Amino acid sequence: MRVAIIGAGVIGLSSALCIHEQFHSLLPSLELEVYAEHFTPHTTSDGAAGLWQPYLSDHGNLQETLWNKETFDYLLGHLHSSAAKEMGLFLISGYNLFTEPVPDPSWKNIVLGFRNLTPKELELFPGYSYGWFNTALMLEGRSYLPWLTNRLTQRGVKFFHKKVESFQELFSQGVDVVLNCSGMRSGDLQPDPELQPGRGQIIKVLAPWVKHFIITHNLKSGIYNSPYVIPGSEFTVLGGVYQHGNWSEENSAKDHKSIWDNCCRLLPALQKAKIVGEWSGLRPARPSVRLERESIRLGNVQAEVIHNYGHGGFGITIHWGCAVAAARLFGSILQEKKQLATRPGPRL
Amino acid sequence: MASPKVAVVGAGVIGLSTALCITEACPSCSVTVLSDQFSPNTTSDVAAGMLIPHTYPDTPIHRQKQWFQETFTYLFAISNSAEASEAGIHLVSGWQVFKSTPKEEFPFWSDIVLGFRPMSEAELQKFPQHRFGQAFTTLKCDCPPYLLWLENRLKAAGAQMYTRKVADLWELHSEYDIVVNCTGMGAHQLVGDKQLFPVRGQVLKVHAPWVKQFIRDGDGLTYIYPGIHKVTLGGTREKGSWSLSPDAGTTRDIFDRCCSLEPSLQGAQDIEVKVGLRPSRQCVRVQREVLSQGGVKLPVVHNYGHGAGGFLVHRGTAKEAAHLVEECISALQGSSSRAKL
Repeated sequence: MRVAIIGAGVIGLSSALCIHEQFHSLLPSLELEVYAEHFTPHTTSDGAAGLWQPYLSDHGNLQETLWNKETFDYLLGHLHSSAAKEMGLFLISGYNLFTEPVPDPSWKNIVLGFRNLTPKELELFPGYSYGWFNTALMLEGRSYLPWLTNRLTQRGVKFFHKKVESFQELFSQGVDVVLNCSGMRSGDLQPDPELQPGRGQIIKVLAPWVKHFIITHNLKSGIYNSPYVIPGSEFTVLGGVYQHGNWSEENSAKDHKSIWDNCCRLLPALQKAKIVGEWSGLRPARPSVRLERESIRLGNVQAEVIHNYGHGGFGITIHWGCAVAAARLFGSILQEKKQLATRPGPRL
Repeated sequence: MASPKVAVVGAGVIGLSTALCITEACPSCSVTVLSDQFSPNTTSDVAAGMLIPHTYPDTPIHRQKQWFQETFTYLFAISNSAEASEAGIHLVSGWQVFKSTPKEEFPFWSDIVLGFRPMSEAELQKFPQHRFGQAFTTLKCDCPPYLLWLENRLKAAGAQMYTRKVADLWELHSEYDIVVNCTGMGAHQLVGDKQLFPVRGQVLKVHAPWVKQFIRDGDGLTYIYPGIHKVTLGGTREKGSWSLSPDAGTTRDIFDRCCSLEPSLQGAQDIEVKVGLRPSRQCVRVQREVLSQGGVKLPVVHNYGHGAGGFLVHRGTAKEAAHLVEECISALQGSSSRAKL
């Protein structure tokens, strides 16, 4: 049973790991192969700061909130393991700031210690009159992706550095199931007008005195179009750009100035911070995550594709819940192909 | 007295902040800091500078609270300014966990720190051996940056600083009008204060930049305080020990205790071991005294004995000491005008 995963970002690698963990002992013939144009440290996941935090509202998409929770709980469970540091996983507290009161987010009971900001805390942020404090997690792609890669390599998963041009290409080579975790490039494999880039740009600085994340929100300009500061283990990320429909991965001087000026206004001490890098990336944005099976007829063969893409600016936040769901879909494919012995049940 | 000459003996956080308060309260004063040690070799440099209070047994709570409030307010303003990184002042959030529930649910400082609240059940799950906890955000003064920043402010205010071992406060009487004694543990020898005793503290300073939160055991012995570049792991409270040499067994013990609170510390690098003697006393001595020998008087203001709470109350006691210096100046001017009659 050959399974090909297209994409080696957080979604592709975690889906591969989840499937291997769950099925390799039940299915000795299982062979996993990861195909990608980009590997760490050149994926979108590597550029993200790595803060676990969903968007402000789930727009009634309860499934995504459940996947977010599953991911948070999974990561929290790994905090005390010896792998935490290698995974790039650690606790972090911080602030979400608003210029007006807003309803509590869908994730208020998922994170730790969620509460409103006190008046004294708001004094720290002139111009903001309302906000939240909570403790969440950081999962840095620069560490997590290599960690996932090591786990997969130990399990005998093969990696291929190539751009897959079509699902056909893989099926004609004898692949049985394809997992499409190609993020922003999914449109190249199968047109999807709902998938659009949400371009982001960040400045990396050395500001080791900053120990909290600070995310401001401007309800008019939309998510992540307002300054944010996220301290990582090696550098601090300054951001606040979300440009829907912009495909450019070049750093823009105009965006740099706006990020720098806005973040320095938010935290005056940042003026003394040393800039050590800059990066632009495309959030694979979609009204909802596409996580579903698709059967493709190829001649007289039924080819199975599991789509798992469109995680926008919350890929790290939601990844494990989606990986588990993708593994469940894989399980149902195996059942249908009678690859898995069904558990003996009561004979009625 | 046109320009009173004030000598401040001691260049730890108490000496430097007191000298600075004197320049602020009395701009016409000429202030000189004298010390045998300056940063990074003071006791203050060993301390983490974490603003989490404990209580001085013999000082009224309202006085400790006032000192802490003044200090917190002062540092809060710096942390919020463009100078924060230079001064080494930054906000840190975290948890104080208790194996047995403390008597007071809301300690005297709970409304001074930010966002104080009991820890939730979910948060306590991370600490299976502890049954109660407090979550809050407070300030940390990193040394050497904070001491260097104070030195720069002093220089800008026209104060002088000299490396000098003062063996006896009286030796300063001919050069200075008022002497301020901020010698910490040195006061044991310098003024013969037998109520002053060392409480030895050993700490580890490690590279673990993924640790962004503080964790402190309510017993005060085990703590993890993330600073700008290094995380301070502690500690010990050895009453009466004068030894400044690091102890290897203690290092191992501190590391193990901290790893049990935060397992990821197993991956910490560049472990440095430091020792400091907390200059402890039943209560901080902030007091005026007049030394006299052969008809010559020397006003002295004492500001020492802060024990484990130097950073906690430094600005508050510095202001009080500066106020006492002003009283000394008034007394001197009063007696000098009397002398003219």
